[in-house]
This record gives sequence, structure tokens and C-alpha cells, in this order.
Amino acid sequence: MENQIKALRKIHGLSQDELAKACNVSRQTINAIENNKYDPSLALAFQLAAVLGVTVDQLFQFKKS
Amino acid sequence: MKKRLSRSPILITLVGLLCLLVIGLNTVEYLRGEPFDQGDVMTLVMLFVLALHLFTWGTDFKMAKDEMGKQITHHSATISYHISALGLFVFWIVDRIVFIRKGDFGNITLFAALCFVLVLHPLVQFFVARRYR
Repeated sequence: MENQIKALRKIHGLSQDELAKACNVSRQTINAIENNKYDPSLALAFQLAAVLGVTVDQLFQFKKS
Repeated sequence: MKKRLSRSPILITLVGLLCLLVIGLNTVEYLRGEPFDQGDVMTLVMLFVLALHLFTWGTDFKMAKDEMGKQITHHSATISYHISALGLFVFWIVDRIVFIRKGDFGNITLFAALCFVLVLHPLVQFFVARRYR
């Protein structure tokens, strides 16, 4: 699963730590999601989308591997 | 963030020093002719567990508790279960060979523990699966 978190986070001028605090997770979790090492739960995906002001399907792109 | 990063190496160093101190004291005791007891071994094991926990999570306990931390814990638990089951089987076989046990069951306690571990996973799975029906 690919995502636009890093790009959108930079547009909003947020650091990984600030985004992590806004979503109530650790900075390492945000870093792992950004680097496609961890797929977040549906709840966290919605929370990330809400904080970054986009929809979930704009934030995440499913790609068959 | 800076505070957390600066605190973590200090704590890890302290645990490392504590490990060295305990190992040193146990070595001195052994050299004096005093045998290791259960307490010494358990202390070393607990310190090793604490050191591993610190190396994995540092002092950032939030990481261990959020959803990725829980997934890491869950994944580790599954792998640990399979290694434990395999380990028990190996210990049971080794015990039969080393102590030349002639009975069908070998070391009955180890055999019971092995059977218990093998049944435990599907049993827990059965009850957990019922929650989703």
C-alpha cells in the first residue's frame, strides 16, 4: 500500500512527531507508515486522513504486489 | 523528543552496568567455590529480559502501547510460541538421550508440558474465534 502522508505532512508543515501526537501514536509508527513498512488500522487511516484534510482513498493507494 | 533521546542511553548504560555488576559478583562467588543457585540464574535472566526490553523500546513506552507496538508484540508472541513448542520437543528428545530414559513417555513432566503447549494454541484459537461468530 502506497501513501501520500509524507507529501501532505510537508504541505501542512507538520513534523512526524506533531502528526504522531495529533493521531495519538508514536513517531516511529508514522515513520513506518510513511516508509510502507506498516499498514495502519482503518481507525488510524481515517484519523490520519482527517488530520491531513483529505479522504482515506486520497491518502492511501492500494497496489497489488 | 530531545529529552527522551538523552534519557534512553543513560538508562541503557545503567542496565548494562548492573548486568556487568551481577555477572562480576556471580563470577567472584563461583571462583570462591560457591555454586550458582536458582536466585543467581533468575537475576541474570531478569536483567537480560530488562536489557532486551530497553534495547527494543528504549524509554519510549508510547511506541510499545500504540497499534504498531501491539502488532509487534502480537507477532513476537506467535513466533515465541512456535519456538517454545519446538524447544520443548528438542529438550524432551535430548532428555531421553542424555538420561537414557526407557519409558514410552521419557521425562513425563517435559512430555506433559509439550502436549499442553501443542493443545494450547488451537484451544485458545477456538475460544477467540467464538467471539467473532
